[in-house]
Amino acid sequence: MTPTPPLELRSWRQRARTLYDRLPTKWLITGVSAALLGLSAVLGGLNDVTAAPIPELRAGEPYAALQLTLTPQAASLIDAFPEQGVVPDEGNRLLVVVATVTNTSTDPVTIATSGDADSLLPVGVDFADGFTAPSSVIVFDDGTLVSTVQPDVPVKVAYVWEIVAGSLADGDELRVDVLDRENEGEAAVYFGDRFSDFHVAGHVAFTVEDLGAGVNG
Amino acid sequence: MTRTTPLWRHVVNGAGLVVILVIAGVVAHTAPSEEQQQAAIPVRGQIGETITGRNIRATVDGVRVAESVEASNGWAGPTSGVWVVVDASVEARVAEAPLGYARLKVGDVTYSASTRPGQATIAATSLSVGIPWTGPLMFELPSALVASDAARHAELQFAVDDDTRADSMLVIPVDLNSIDIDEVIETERPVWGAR
Repeated sequence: MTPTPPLELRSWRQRARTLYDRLPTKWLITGVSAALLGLSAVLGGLNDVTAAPIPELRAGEPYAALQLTLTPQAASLIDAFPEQGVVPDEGNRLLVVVATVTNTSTDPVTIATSGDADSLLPVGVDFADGFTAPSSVIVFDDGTLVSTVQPDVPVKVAYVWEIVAGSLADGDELRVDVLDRENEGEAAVYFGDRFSDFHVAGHVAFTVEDLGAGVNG
Repeated sequence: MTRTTPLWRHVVNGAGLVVILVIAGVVAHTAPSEEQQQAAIPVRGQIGETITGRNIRATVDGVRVAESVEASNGWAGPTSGVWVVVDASVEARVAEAPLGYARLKVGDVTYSASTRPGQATIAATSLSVGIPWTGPLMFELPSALVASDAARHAELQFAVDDDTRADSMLVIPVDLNSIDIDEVIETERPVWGAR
């Protein structure tokens, strides 16, 4: 018969260790998490954060986005740009925002139509087919369709969207968002720059002018 | 009874370890980085010389600079900068490919050949094997840059893909400082098949 071990007089350290050994791991993790959350709350980590207000830009005021400095100048409605082959479907019209674009990077930047560059986005407009990216970008001076802007060579362009006729009229107020983004750099399995955190960096308010068939029309 | 290791063996082991560490350090510091391993392979030449890469062959006949250009299709693109017009002849060598990369590098900044002139430029044209496209490439640059020191060592760079990694890139140095700026340049119509 195995003799019963004698009761030992244990110190408080030994008792604490025994209790600690008996403590379920789940309780331990939950307790530590609760303690950290409580500490975070005490330090203000759970307080509401006031979002930084999005700046209101004036027409003609430049905004320096990641790669492009965008200076939106005016918004207008027009029937078509037939020489450039930019003709909307029946029942639609063209919304044009004229802006000066300066590429501040060290490489050419594509600004065409895919919406993948720093760009502009009209708000509250009924876009044809739901596409919010500009359907065309036209160089203001020579009427050519532009796809690339060169570093430090400012170019005045017309961003063109096809919209449902009647969704915007002469004299209406139009808000245009200036879109910016961040460059995450290259990744291990990806070549070239990666962009993320697309966000609205500013608002510009315009009074829309209806040019009818065009400035000469 | 234990045998003690003689002192000379400790010294030799230590010296061997140091040698291995030095060799490893040299290898680590001289091995090409991933960027260097994948970099374009430059093939250098001069203006007037025919330069041949893996799938591209080009000859730059001349470089001009002007405030405006009158292209063969009637396009007259105004610019807030200047136009650098490169008259060149480019063809593929082993397989059809686009002229996907036609750049002018000034310092650390690169400029792509403009596609605004449309059919009046050979930018972005499809290259056939052995049948060159001969015509102008127009580069839009800031006016001040042409007169800068960096412009003395500008480089024309041609490749068949805009992803230039691990393929030939033709590189032709250009001294933009030495070229007078014309008021206007008229360019010739691109020709397919002429040399």
